[in-house]
Amino acid sequence: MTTELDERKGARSNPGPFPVLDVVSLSKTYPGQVALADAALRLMPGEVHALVGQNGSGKSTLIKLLGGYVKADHGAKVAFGSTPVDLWSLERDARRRIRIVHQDLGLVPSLSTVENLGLGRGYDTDFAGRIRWRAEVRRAQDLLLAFGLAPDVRRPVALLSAAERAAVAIVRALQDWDFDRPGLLVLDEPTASLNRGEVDALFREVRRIAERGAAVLFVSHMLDEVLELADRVTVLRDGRVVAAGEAAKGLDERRLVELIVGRSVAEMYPGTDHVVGRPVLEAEMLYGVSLRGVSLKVHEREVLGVAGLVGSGREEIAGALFGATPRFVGKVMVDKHKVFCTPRDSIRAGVGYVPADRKTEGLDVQERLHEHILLPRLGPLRGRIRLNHRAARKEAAEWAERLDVQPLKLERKMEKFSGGNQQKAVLARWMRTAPRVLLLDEPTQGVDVGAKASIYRQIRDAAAEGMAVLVASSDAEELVHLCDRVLVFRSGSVAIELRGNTLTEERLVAETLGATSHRKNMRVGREPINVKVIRDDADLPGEVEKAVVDVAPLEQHDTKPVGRFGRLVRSVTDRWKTRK
Amino acid sequence: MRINEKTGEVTHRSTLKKNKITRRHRVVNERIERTKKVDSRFDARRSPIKWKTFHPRNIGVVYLYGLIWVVFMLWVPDTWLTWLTHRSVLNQNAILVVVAIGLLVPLSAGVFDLSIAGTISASAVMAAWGMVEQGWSIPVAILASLAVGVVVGTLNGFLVVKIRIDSFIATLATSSILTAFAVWRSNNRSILGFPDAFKSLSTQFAFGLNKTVLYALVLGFVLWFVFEHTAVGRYLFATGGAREAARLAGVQTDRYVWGSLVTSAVFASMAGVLLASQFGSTQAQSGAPYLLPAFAAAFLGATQFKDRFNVWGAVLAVFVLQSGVKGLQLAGVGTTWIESLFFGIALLVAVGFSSFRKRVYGGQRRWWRREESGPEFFLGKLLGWGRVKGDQSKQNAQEWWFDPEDTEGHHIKPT
Repeated sequence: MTTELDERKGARSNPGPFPVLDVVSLSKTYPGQVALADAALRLMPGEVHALVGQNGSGKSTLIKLLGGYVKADHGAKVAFGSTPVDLWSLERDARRRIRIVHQDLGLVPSLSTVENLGLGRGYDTDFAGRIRWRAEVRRAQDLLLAFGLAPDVRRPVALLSAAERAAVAIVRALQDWDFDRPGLLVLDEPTASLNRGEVDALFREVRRIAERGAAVLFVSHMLDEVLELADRVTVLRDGRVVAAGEAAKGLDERRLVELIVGRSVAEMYPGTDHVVGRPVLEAEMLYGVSLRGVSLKVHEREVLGVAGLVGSGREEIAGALFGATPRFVGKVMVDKHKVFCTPRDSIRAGVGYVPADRKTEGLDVQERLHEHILLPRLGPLRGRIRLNHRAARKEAAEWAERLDVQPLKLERKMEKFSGGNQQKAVLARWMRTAPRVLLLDEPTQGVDVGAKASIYRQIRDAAAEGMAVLVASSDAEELVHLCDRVLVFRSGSVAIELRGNTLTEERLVAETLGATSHRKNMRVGREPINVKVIRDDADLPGEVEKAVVDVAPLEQHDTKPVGRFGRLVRSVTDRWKTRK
Repeated sequence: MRINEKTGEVTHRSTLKKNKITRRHRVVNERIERTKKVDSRFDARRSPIKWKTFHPRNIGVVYLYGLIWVVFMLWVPDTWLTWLTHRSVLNQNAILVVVAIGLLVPLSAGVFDLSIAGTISASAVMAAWGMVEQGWSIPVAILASLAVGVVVGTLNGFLVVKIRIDSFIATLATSSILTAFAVWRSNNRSILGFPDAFKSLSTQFAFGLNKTVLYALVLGFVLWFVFEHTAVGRYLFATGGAREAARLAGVQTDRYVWGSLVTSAVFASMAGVLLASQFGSTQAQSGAPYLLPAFAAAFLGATQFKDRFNVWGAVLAVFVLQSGVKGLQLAGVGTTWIESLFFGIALLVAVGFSSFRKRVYGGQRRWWRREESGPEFFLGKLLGWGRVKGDQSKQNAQEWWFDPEDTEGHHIKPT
């Protein structure tokens, strides 16, 4: 205590500027899991501070705490400006000075840009209470022009491009910024959907704000952008701060990756040494919403991992292989037999799919445990005229017990189980269908540690018995220890395959983040890509007859027609594109 | 005698014999094991009686019926305690039951069907128009009016599944079109003069009960079987619960939605035929009064017995609510609005009972659920007991933060 006091006295003799936000100690514990342990973060005025870390390292928890969406553990020590505050119950005025742009942007898609900008702030009205639409529109246009964008601000936000939407969200956070008092701007992965020109415009704007005395907290996976923009970097790992406010000048990408990764191997992963069999699932030249020609094979007794950033196709691949989301081009074969792009056909062919979004796609929260487990395969339980309830319940109980669902109550509704047990039940459902291939999308998302270990064991056991497993995950540690091979996705296609000695956590994260260099080189209006499409009737895997198809260059925002007529054309083409 | 080689312990023969596990022991042990297993883990052969079943939250309508019985037994004992009263409730509402249980199918598949009233009118008018004005034979007329149901259901399904119009709007629109059809065919007048053979479809058969009651029970039994004992029922409920999750589990959700709409329309047109036969006349608006009671019965029924739509819940809901209305009529309350009032209040009370105390898992933080707004908080404030959590953390921050000597308020992070 005395040392603290001394230090403070020392500080008083040499008073620097106040930090805008000084987080001295902030922790957050969720049941069964420490999300953030004693985090420290000091944001000085005029500083762009980057926050980096792997998925699940506590970045989003920290942002939620700053925004007051969740309550910190007891004993948090945080100062905003010159006063200690409780982030959970911040005064309205102080709350307004912390502006957060979330990753999902938080726009109302059906409202126009002007209406979205007015949502938190209110509108400019005349004496009769009528909104001065013309003034509002002009204001919105001016704000967006700072980003070099001139979208039609009266169109619903849903019809804008991803970059325009991101700009609207940022503009909304920045409007009415009061530079006289300390303020904090938090940008959570703002550049994920922007191209290089827009990123430059955003950085210019961010710098301008910082120069006028605000603090900016910049969260990103793109390490080159972090080093380009930020003055200081804080690295989180496993909910702990590993590097607090290091000057960005002394860092390079290599060092940053080292800081982000590098942790001891947990004991929870079972061994992975066994013989891999022949290919079971084969996919050729898959094109989807974000997939750009993916070919892969999953073998018997193999766990194949898929890594990649958001938007790289990692989230889509499992669903596309199963037929949950459409495949535009390409074919999927199970045991050399072609499978149509419907869940039903995939299930018949012996494919199981555990979706990432458990609450809406994985299960129905209102159904009972035994109903949930039995749903995909009721055929064998049919008696002569009715379902054999006794056999059904017995089978459901056996599978729930095998997957260790706690508590084992067959009549319990799915919503009452914890996340881990829900996931075990989903896994039980698919294991019961005895699939040849099991596709898992984020199998341990929102799952506590105990359940995680159990799920990993089940996956390995299933693979050992001859199943082919594909795991798409944003958790590098999980992939490295669970999988035999990992495919790294970048911009919709397989960038590299890691296996054996090359499959390390550092390498995986570095390859995943390699997307940055790719974007730097991205040019507007690129040449047509030559795509080799293997004809369906070709005899595989012998001599393959290949047809070459020209695929049009990807739509670029900057190449769109402008002007009044151009807007008209664009509104028509955009509507056509977004048509369901 | 046995000697343990490592420890040198000696166990005598008599002890060995005493501890020997015989076959009888094994059998008994196995039996105990088996019962344990069944009791604790597997629900398959659990004892059938659960006291939760009799809780008003689960069977509120039954208690409501008891209350109605007691009240009217004391109020109008002469008329209430006769078979005539109760059988007339059954006879008058059998058609409503047919409509309501038909409606359960699309509701459990997660779509609304507002066109049932229109379908009833249209198919009743179709049968009447065919028999009276076109001179069709009775089976042909009935088939024609059932065909109306099939066509309407198919159209609804097409609009909802293929065109992807919201079911509420699509069926509202078809309902309006059907009303137009009925008015056009009947020239907006009552159609009278059915053959007697057609009227005999809904004459009495036993105990003074109409045949319509029999039809309703048979249809109810069939639907109950489908809902509870077949795979189709499971798929329907899965579709209604989470359409996307069901699709990913291999359920052909579009087919089930479409099929459910066809089913409800066919049930409605059966109700239309029975309606024409029972009243002996038909007009364009005859189906309209069935729409809201059918929905009320379906939703009230969904709170009974199970947490989802079920046939017997709906049937019982119709019977109990209409019994109450009948009792009020018998008591000669005289005013016409008292029935609607009773209907509304009974519905609110019965549904409210089952949903009021239902715990929302991970529910939202409302002001009345916060600990700061609990009674002990206000009492504590008044009497000055202790400190509330929120205050405490602020206090803690202050204590830690401020050094009284530090007049400028600068602070530094402890290492």
